[in-house]
Amino acid sequence: MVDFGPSAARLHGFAALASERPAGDLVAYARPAAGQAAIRGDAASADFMAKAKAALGTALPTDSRSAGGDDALIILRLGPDNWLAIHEDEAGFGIQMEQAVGFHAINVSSTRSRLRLEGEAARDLLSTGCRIDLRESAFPPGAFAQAPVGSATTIIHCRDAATFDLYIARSFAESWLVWLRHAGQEFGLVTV
Amino acid sequence: MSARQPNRADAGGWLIDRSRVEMFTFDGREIPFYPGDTIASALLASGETLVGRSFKLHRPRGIFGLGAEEPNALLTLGSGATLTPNARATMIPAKPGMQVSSQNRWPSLKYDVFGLLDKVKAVLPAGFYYKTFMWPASRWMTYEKYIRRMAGLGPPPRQRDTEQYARRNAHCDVLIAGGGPAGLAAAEAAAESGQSVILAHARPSFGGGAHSMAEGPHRQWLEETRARLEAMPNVRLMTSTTVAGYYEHELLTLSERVRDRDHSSNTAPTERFWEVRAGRVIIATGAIERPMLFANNDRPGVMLASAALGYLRRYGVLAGKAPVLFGGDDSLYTLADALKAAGADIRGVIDLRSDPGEAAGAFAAAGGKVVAGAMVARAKGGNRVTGAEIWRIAGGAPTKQETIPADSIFISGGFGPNLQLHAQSKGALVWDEGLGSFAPGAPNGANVSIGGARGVFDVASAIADGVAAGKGEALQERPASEAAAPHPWELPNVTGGIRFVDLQNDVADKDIALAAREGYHSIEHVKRYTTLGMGTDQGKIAGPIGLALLAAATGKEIAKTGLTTFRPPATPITFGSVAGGHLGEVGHAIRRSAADTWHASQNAVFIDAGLWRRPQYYPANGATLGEAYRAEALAVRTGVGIVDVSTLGKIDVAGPDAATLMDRLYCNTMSTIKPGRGRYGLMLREDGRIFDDGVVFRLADDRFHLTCTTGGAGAVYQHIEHALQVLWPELEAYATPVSEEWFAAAIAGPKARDYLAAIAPGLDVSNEGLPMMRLAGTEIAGVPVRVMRMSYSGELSYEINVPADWGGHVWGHMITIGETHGLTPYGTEAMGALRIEKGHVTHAEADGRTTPDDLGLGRMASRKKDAIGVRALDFPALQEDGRKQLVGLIAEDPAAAFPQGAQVTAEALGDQPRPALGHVTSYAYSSELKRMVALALLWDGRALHGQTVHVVSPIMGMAAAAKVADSIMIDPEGERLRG
Amino acid sequence: MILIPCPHCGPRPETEFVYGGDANVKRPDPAAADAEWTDYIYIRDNPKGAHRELWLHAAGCHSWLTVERDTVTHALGDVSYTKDGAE
Repeated sequence: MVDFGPSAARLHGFAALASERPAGDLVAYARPAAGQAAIRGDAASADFMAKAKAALGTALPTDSRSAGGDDALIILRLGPDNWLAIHEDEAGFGIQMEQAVGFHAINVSSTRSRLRLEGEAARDLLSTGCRIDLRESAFPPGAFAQAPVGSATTIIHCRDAATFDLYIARSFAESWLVWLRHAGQEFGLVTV
Repeated sequence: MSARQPNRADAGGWLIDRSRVEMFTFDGREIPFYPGDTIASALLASGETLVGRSFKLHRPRGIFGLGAEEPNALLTLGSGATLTPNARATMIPAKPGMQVSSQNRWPSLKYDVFGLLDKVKAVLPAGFYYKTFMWPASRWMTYEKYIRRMAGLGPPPRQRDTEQYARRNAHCDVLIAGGGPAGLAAAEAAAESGQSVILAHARPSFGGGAHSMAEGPHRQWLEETRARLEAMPNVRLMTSTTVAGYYEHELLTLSERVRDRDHSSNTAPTERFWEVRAGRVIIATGAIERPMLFANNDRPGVMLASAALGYLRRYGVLAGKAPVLFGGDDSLYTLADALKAAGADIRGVIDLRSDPGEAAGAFAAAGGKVVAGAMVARAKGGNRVTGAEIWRIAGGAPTKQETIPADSIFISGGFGPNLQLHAQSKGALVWDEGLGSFAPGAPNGANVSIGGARGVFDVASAIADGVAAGKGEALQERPASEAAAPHPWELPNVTGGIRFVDLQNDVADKDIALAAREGYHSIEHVKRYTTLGMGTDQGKIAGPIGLALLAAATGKEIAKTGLTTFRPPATPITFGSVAGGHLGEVGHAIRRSAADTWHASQNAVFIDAGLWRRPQYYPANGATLGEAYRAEALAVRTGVGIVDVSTLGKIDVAGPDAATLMDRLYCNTMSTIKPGRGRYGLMLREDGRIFDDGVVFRLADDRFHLTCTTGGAGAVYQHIEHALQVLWPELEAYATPVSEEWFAAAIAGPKARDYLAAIAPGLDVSNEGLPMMRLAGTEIAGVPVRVMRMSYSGELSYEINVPADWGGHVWGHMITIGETHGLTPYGTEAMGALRIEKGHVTHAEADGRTTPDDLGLGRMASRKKDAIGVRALDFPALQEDGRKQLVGLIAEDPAAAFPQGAQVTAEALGDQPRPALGHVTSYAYSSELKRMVALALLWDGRALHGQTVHVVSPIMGMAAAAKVADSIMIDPEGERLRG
Repeated sequence: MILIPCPHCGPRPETEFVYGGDANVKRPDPAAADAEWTDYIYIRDNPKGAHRELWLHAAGCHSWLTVERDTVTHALGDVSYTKDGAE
């Protein structure tokens, strides 16, 4: 049995968006579907932390407001005992983690769809629908947060001062785009 | 002064640009204005004194104030899709071509038919409508229609609003409400210390009260301060922005009228609604002048003295050319000198003080007329003031002195702090005898009131307040007033005429006295009985006077009478602004399954299920709902159907203590399930009522896959986290929602096995290979999937779970293969019919009141272990006889229809009321029994099996006889689903 | 709208949380009498002033938090993970 389905048949929630960065000062475009795993365990347990490190190849971050890992493997500590690990290149990553650490992991690769918002006005645009402090002083590159944005709970990950990766639950994605495009009108957002 | 603008002074007006003249229309007439004018200042410049009719009595009304406190000049802007009613003429900048109309008059402003109401004011006292028209109650509906037509504000828009609205959230160290001298100084001081600052000002240009002052050094200070603030990167300057609400923990809402500032932009929204979370708040919203009480004090031409000064200094407009001034302090003479210098003929200054002091002396010495120790007792005139009747009140009984011809009366009853924001934040309010007003007391939260908003009225002291507050330092003690402020409420009513307290709602001093006599002693009750302060001005002018009058009428101190609650918005803002364009799907998310595109391509009719949209039915060949679901259900009973069940909640529970947790979450035992097998489970609330239900599969010793209802998914997850974090933190288990991870489809029907074999050729589909409640992994269309054998419809059935990103792909494959198997897609309506026949419960039956036993599931509750809710099942109330129990109802007549929302009775409908035996929870047409069936909760229902009852709706006049049956109405032994 | 300093996520508005009621109630032993269970299930104090209460950060980290809040002024005291505070 294969680990996951044929990649050509895979369709994430933001398939309607441009898949490459379109031209424009403020743009939104889809991020490729990746492999995602929820890692669950007690951060105070050295055994668990060691097991997770061995499986991931890097330590789980303890910081709850900024991302761990690197560009290929991003790790976000979403809750005290809950990490989301995103592997950019391995679609089967979630299942590999289940096999590696058992009950400590679960494949969630289809759970959230991703897009990227890029441009000087990105913070203002997000602030039309998000109540957390997104000023650069409070939310610098590397920072992430899980919070309501527009009509759905969103993971916001600041990649650099004017670039944000956004993770939206799959079933909300189409509706969330309706919100994004409406909110983007006053900023001239380009999405295709 | 030009012929077109007869009341425009030849020079002056800090806020206007005299280099060009623009036009708008008022009731179809062209009104010229200068850029910078408000609608009010332009109307006054053109000599338009009559601008509206009062709410109840339709009395003629003119512009009374200068700003947000305006009670009279409520106008309608635009028409059709851009119509905005009840706009305050004093706050709206005049724009070229705008269309302005007066309100609450018919057929025209000058000749208003309902103005006759005014003649019968004697019979329209406080509470008149309550007392006269409420009885008999049945007639109120008839009267109300006419009363509403007479009493009203502007018309509501009838078309969908085409304006654009935006929203924004912001954070700052300091939010300053009000951009007068105090606010500007505060902003600069705070910004200089490095703090991030938002300065919000309701007007298009900063300056506030400073614009009502003559030339002086403060003008340069104003310009320079503004320029310095504009250059500071940590300051956000917001003009045309009202601070509307102050909520807990320094959350403030702002309404920014973007197009008031920038009416040429194409992309800018009309209004933008802000939520600002501030570290601290500086309230610099200034003060509001009190009016004076005298007969006919509502006539057009009566105006607050501060407004008359403001119109002159800000816009170069003389609100009256031959005014009488009436008040009790030196501000009268500042106004008199200014008006005189601009060419007005001051007919007299009526000063309450018998010894008015130096300013009065100087004015008199220059040839002005001062009447000391006197009051205006009555305004003369109808649609416009023609004179003022003066009575002497100093030294003995009041005596009538003279009537002075005048075209206007400018009044000042002293100033009180604008308390709105301080009071909204739940700060204390203290009565200040010197101010003759309530003033801010101890704050609640990180805020401070400065300048006029705390009763500091001179500009230099207000700026000093601003500097201290901006730096976060303590304020200087407020200087004691030199003289007592006038107390307008103490003026005697010597003429017996009508003296208005609340101009917008036509509440007179007599109404308050009457309310007090009738026993209304609380200001909150008096407000509602008389409508005092209930207009769109929220009693900014009326409140203080009304309160003092009530205190006098009830013999209490003002301080102890208290104030009515201040609620947001501080000044009215538009609904559009609050909604922020969040209409339809922009503001309300719709969740879609991975097969949603396919459903839409089949013209499925969707129905809301929580936030999800689900196909209710597929209207093949134009079938109606009834036709479609009956055909779909029949296809499942006779062939094979497929339904998208992605919306069901799914939660992964894993960890060494997962089995223990499962036993505590469900009333039945889950720890004995073997890996790869499943079991139906019931979750209870701690009070013993059913909370949710669903099938649980054990994936491994330490991992379970829970399903729960579509609507219950969120609450179930919270419930599990509560169990893990609050009730039993010692358990090591982790709950992870996986509803989004899995696309799910159920296939059901006698031909489901053959069909499954076709789509999953690698799977052993035999009854031995995949028996009931068993899970297997396989592959469909190259995608790894889980197949779970379980049944909701009562037929042989399988649920297929697919990683959601491949859900559309797999669904499409299954539909294609299904073409040769007679596969029928079905929606929620058919699914409902199938489960009703089978007696499967939903939240219609598990309605928060029913226990497992009520629904015939009592045996599921295991008493061998602790679980949430099982202890309460021992409570006597849940054990006793006579509870409602679930039964099936089968129509006796195959042609009978069941009404919606039906009750169940022993006898058919008749003239007399019938006691109900219980109620119908769900009903549908049974494609198998060929008649209507229902599930119902009947008292002692299980004892009624076999009896004939009636399913009735007295409201709809419908009734149908039905036989009480077991809730499982087809295949009670479950042979079909096990075969 | 109160602002709750979530120890995991930082200050977040009330709208992200679900209220969980009095934090002081303790689930009785199953063997306890009906009266004790009735108290646990149905009876709550409604204090004016200091209150220890539960809030679930439903739109954030999903932690149940124990929050000290003054029901009159909304002033907040200590905010901690409920799980850490349990005996």
